[in-house]
Amino acid sequence: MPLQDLDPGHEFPPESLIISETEATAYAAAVGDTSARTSERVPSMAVIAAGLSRFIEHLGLADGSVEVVHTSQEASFVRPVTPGETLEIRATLRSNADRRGSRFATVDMLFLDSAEEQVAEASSLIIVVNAS
Amino acid sequence: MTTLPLSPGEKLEQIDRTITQEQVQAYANAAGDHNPIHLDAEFAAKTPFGRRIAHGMLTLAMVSEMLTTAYPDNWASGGRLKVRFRAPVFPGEAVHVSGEVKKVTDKDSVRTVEITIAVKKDDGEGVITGQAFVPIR
Repeated sequence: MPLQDLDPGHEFPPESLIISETEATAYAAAVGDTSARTSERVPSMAVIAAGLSRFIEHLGLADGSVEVVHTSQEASFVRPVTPGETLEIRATLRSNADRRGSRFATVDMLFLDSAEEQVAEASSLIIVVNAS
Repeated sequence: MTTLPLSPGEKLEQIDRTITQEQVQAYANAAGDHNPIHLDAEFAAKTPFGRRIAHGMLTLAMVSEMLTTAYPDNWASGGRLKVRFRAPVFPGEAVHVSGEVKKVTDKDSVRTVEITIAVKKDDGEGVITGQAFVPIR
């Protein structure tokens, strides 16, 4: 469903996220982090980045049809994530408003482990330029 | 044993890094963010930025790296941050990631360090500003 059709409070279907050691290592290499111990733990921000990418992809905002600008980010971490660990992402659209033809949307994401304990939380504000 | 930065005014070890288009491509693959504004020169040329830009989350990863280095056992276990992306980073530009302890508070037997975060370019233009909070247990 297009972003402009979603109401604030909309809950996206929960989905699974697994970051393997290979993926964690690729992420660390891409950001230039040579000190990351990716055999033991996934770099903290890799979890948030993966969640945000999923959200943008699901809303069809990554296909080049619109310009998406990421303007602010909040994140908190409860504990490190182990490579290969299964997480669940629960995302909610906190706000979604049109301002001068552009759409401002905030998505909140909770990252839960298999015991449904929270391991991280994030909130992202994106602007979809000339999208309304 | 490393000493944690716990005194107001104390600076975290700075990260200085030049972001390349190859790095942006590698990040897109690793993080799953293939937005063409980062990867497609023709598409990016038509945006207000005029050319490809690095992912904000790529630069933010360096902030997290700095905090992990400074607080190895604390950042990933209770750390939080709040930042704004102030300006795009274009591939080929250098960024300088810095943090400075702003204050330390004690509440409910937990000491929390508040750190002022800044990412700047060579010319001083601000890329990211914000705060991070790290509990020291």
